[in-house]
Amino acid sequence: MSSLLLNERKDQVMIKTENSGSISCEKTSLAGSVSQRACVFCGSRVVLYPVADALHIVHGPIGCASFTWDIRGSLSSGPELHRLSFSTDLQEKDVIYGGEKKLESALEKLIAEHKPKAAFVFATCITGIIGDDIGAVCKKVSDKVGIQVIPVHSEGFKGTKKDGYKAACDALAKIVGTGDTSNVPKLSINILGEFNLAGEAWLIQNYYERMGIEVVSIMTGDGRVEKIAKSHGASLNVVQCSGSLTYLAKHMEKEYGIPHMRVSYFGIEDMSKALYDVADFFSDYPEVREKAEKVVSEEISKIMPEITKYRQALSGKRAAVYVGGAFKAFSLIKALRLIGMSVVVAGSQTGNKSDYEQLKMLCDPGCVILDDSNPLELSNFVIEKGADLFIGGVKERPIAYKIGIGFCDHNHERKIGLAGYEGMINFFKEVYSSVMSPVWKFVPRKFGTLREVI
Amino acid sequence: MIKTSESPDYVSTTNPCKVCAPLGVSLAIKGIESAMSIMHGSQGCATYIRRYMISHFKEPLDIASSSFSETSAIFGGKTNLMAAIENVNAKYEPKLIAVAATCLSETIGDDVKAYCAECSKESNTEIISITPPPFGGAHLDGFYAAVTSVLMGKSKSDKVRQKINIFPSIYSTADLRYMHQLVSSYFGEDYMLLPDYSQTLDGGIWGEYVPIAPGGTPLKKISSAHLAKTSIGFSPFLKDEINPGKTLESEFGVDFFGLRPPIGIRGCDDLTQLLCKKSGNKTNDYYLQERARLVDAYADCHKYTFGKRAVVYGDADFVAGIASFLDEVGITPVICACGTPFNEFEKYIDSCLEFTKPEIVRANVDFKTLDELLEGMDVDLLIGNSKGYRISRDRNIPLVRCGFPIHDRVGGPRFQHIGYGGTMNLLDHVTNTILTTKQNESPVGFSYQ
Repeated sequence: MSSLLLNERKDQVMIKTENSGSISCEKTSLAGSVSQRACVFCGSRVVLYPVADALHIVHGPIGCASFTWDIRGSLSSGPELHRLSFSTDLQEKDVIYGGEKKLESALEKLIAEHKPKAAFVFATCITGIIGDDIGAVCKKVSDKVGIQVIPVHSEGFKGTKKDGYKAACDALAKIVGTGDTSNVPKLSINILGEFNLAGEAWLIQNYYERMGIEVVSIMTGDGRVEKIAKSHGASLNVVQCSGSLTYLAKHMEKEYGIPHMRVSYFGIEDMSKALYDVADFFSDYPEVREKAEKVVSEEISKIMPEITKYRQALSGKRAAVYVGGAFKAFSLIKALRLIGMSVVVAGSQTGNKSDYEQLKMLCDPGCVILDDSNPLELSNFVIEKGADLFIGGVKERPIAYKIGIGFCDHNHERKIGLAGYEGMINFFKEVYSSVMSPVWKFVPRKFGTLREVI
Repeated sequence: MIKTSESPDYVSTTNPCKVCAPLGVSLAIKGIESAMSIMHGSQGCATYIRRYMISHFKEPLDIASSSFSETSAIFGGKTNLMAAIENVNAKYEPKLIAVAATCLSETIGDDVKAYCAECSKESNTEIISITPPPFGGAHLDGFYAAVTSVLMGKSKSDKVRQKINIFPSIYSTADLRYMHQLVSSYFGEDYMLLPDYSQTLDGGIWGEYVPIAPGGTPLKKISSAHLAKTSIGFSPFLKDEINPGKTLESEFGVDFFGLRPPIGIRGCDDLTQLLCKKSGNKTNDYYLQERARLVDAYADCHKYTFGKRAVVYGDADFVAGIASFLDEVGITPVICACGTPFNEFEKYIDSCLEFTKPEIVRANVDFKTLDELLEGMDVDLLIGNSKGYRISRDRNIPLVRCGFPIHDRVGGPRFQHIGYGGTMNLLDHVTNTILTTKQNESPVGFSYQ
């Protein structure tokens, strides 16, 4: 292991044993390490992306906008403004003379054309350096056009992807509190950190509605400015993606006295807990708990026979998990355990100390735990630990395939819903079709190259 | 009527038809033996480029970053770059490191060239800086700038290793393999193809992770490029400062031929003639027969293709090449659109056409403008990368996916465009797309054409 790791990264990797200490994390990526992370801008862009009736304009050179055009599988039930890519496409002369006028003109024209309910202006590395006063431009345009035009301080170099989440939360916080809450009932929640990939948010919303609870705003899943604006009327914030929206939950707790709880909608265990915890929060209304139990039992009985089938086929197989946020890793470990699979490598891009403590508690002895890893480390541990499956995002996929094992996408581009009870079955089906595919029988490690075969 | 290349007075871009120069740099460097690239900027530049290209090539694409922090943005990125070079050396053990300037490093005025020169002194690895035009230019500029910088920056050998240098545009891996086969049929091993990512970005399963994928243009051949007799490029209107062949010609006197793209019979014939002339060898039977089959296929398809109207978009070399082929089979490239500013785009397209006349030729076009240009136009098909899918779907115009990137289908890198064989492949795809539409729209669903 020592020769594999760069010196500066040694304390960002550990193996779970009786007396393993704590992992180092929340550091900026080591130069030259080929981190799987992106930048501050990426963090902001992915979080705000699903707000479908807002204009999202990238103030910078073209790359940042090109790379984030239609990038997530976040569905909208109505407007689809979020799926367009707007950029000020800064040129050399803008860098020299400043891009404020260009931004102002772009905003005015685009707002007149698309009539968004709000606009987000993403700062990039360049606008951070040339010193454009984006805030002033936003205010000026906002006063003129009568919608909120919100600067997002997402200069790429100003921290890690996590700082981008915070900048996105700051932007959302400017919308929260601007709407009328008079029609928001007591039995109501907001869902934070759910991005409606493949319609997952709709599924979750349906469960809560069956419990008699109104979902005021899903903020960043099928998001609408109007709903975000009145979200401060809800009684509770339920935070799904641990990393991204916690800042907003904390802000709303402080500003509006709305408590928040962390949940995960992935895996039967966590999904059910997410419903029960909310029911217990509204303990003055015992019927909510009853309804929650009914939802859980109905849903589980629908999928249990299928799960048994998958368990028989997959029990004993090993998985490696490398995802963006650590909370997703917890849920994956639990879900895989349900079908008898163990996790032998687990890591995240952005986990914090307490995340990794929890990860250590949750995983089996011998499991390798990694923070902000890279292709060389990941591939090495995956082979060393004999994983049959790798679960990660787009950049991890070719790593798995090159070493000849199956891969499941658990990232923001996917088209298959993995949340909720239905999602669980979709996930197991994915795992099954990845691990059991006959193609892996032909890879060199198992089958040999042509020269070895003939 | 041909409208001018002048872009209208608007200031923002909606749905861009281009990516940034550092992406082109990374792609070119992937085509060099044992080379690694470092994006000198924020971590996001490297990661986004990796993600974008992985979705097309479906292969690992390790690209390092100097991971700027706020401190580096203020005080310069030298310390970070040094650390990046050291770490890349330790873990990837490359023989060559290419450091690409990004918008960020250019804006703060980092002297990447000087940093690289300093690092080179203390390192056994050759370190070459690449500073493509950071703004306005796009991936194709970055690509050619990288090839030119490596050629000029790499140490020189005095051993003659090849007679001819071939500088492809952004071609598919299948195209590059074809080019190898074609050129070696005239020159044996005495040629260099730079860059060559045919194997590095389209290889087999390894079994264990390999830090740098095998393949790529041999470094030795790059060192000897200045001693070759001839160079061939396929981007006749490329700016001199990023034109590898032109640069070799002016610096070392290597004869340079800037041919039109080798797509379609005329483009391929130009290349064939030049290869014959420079090698002194005759075209072998395989290519004679391949060309004969292509002309035969042109005849088979002409009724379906003649008079059809196509829209072609993408980078300038791609659009010109495809337009040149369409022209030969009687399809009018009614709109030729290039995503980047390109002053001579109209001239470029004009030089490729003989029998048809486009209605609109325009550079610096985004997909929104392209969509607006299409309004009210009668068009049979779109030809270009997968980013045109939205227009294709909204306007119900079939899309022939080719070029780069193909993000929503498999096989993008295996699509062959160049040579007689690639032209045949294009012809089949284009004709079958036309036939599919005809069949789908037929009230009786005929089973013979």
